[in-house]
Amino acid sequence: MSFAAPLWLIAWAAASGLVIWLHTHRPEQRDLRVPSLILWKRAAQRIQGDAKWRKLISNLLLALQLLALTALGAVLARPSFSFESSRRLEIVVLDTSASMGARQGPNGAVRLDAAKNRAVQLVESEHAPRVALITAGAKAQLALAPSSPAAFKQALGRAQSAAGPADWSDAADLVRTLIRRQENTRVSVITDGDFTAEEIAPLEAAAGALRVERVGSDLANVGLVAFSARQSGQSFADYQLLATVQNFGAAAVDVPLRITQGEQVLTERTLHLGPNAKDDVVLDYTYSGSAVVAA
Amino acid sequence: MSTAPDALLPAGFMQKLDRLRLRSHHAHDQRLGEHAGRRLGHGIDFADYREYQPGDDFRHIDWNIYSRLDRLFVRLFAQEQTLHVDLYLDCSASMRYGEPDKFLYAQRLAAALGYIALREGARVGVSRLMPETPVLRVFGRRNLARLFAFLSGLDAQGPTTLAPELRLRAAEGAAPGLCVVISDLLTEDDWRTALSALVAQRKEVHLLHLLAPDELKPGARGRLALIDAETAERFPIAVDDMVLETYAQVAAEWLEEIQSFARAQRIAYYPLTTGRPVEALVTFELRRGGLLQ
Repeated sequence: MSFAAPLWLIAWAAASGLVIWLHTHRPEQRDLRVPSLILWKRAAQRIQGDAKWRKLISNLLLALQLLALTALGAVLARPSFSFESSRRLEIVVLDTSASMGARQGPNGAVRLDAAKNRAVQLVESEHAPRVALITAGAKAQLALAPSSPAAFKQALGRAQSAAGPADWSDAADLVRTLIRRQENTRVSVITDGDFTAEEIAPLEAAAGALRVERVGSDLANVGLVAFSARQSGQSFADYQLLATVQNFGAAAVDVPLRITQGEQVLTERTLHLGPNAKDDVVLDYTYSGSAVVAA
Repeated sequence: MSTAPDALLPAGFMQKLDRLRLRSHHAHDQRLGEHAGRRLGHGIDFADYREYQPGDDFRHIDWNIYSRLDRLFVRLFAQEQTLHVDLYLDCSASMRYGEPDKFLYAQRLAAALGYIALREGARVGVSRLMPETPVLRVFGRRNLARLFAFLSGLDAQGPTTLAPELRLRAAEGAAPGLCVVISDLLTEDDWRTALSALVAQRKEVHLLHLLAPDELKPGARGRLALIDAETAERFPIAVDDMVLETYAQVAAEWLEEIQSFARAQRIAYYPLTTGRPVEALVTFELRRGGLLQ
């Protein structure tokens, strides 16, 4: 609870003190010479029976006066009650760019799954009562309007990575829309990518304070963005394999590419990819029975 | 504290008093005096005839009537009678209250009544209602100065002792007459029985109840230590509107109770306050109550 005019609280305290003092203060006794006490004693005797009632009435008056003062002070101080905890909103911007579909680590875990786990941890650790989810793929989408953490988990489960880079500018517009409706918000971005300052600037401008959670290793942000096979030539067994590798990072990297069929290595080479560059690898392949080709 | 004799009755007030007379209904003694009473006897002013009865003085038989009517009648004469006026003044400390104080009023009232009484040839006694104090008894106009000097020299102090003094006067069994008691009656003693005793002695009692206006409706408020003027007893009390209202109610009931007692005892009761001039009290209130005419 806060007060718009807290000075009135001081005035209220002073006035309450004054009222209590006036009720409890006994002025100094004054001597008064009277011709006789006879009539005074008779009057005092008569009102003695009413003394208890008078004291009760006096106490009631004190209570009423204090109550009135409190009400007046409360009105003048203009209190405001904020339900901050229940109104707080956590906005999670989840990077669903193509690179989030990459596997990494010894277990070959997909980055998006790691990002989802991190998002759940984040929401649980913040005890945010309401959470919104924005997926930032090639086109940013509001995956979940402000809702409960349970709904957030469900929405998070439906999120998938898509081809193409994350559109941070689009995501910034959504964040701005949500923040406009909500005063107490915090924006967290969970991403694997390294992005330029210009790319993230709109989101930072929209969110104010932006928290960036990174998932994935320190490996370059490189992904297999296309891998397909097509029949070629006269024979049904002649195929061409196309593998497209893209570097989403800002620095040039050397990327090892290996295409296998079962245990057999079809090709293995190193691709040199410049910043945000991609390279297509076309490989002739002869079908020799059911097999799984992997790149 | 004494009062200058001149301050008691200013000259202008005396002129007004000269037009007033005491109105006594029955309280005369049989000694010759200047006050024309109703009693018929050995006076010089013819009053009436009455048929002769054995024992009547032959010298009062009207022989002219006997010659005409052949019946004996005696002449009756109005007897000049002496009126006794006893003035009782409450000289307790409570009378020294008010502005001007009640005791000055009492002195002036007594002076006015004494002046009228002496002018009419009445025998005037002035008693302080205090134990073992001398009583002034004067007769005749030449003693007016003595009366005034006595009244001027009186002072009010000490507690009220109405009842014992009035009982003492009643027990003296003096001749019937007018008794005028001037007091604020602020005492718990049994003055009612004493006044009844005076009435029983064929005294015509007039009770002048003198109070200051703020004794009936006081205005002081706050935490007070009331100090009794007579006993110096302290009585702490928080006075507010409710207390003042109750006091006024008690005072009104007290006056009503005294009035009822006086009516029952055939005592003429005059509730007077120092809020009005003495002249108004004498020329209006005492005339209306029947003490003067």
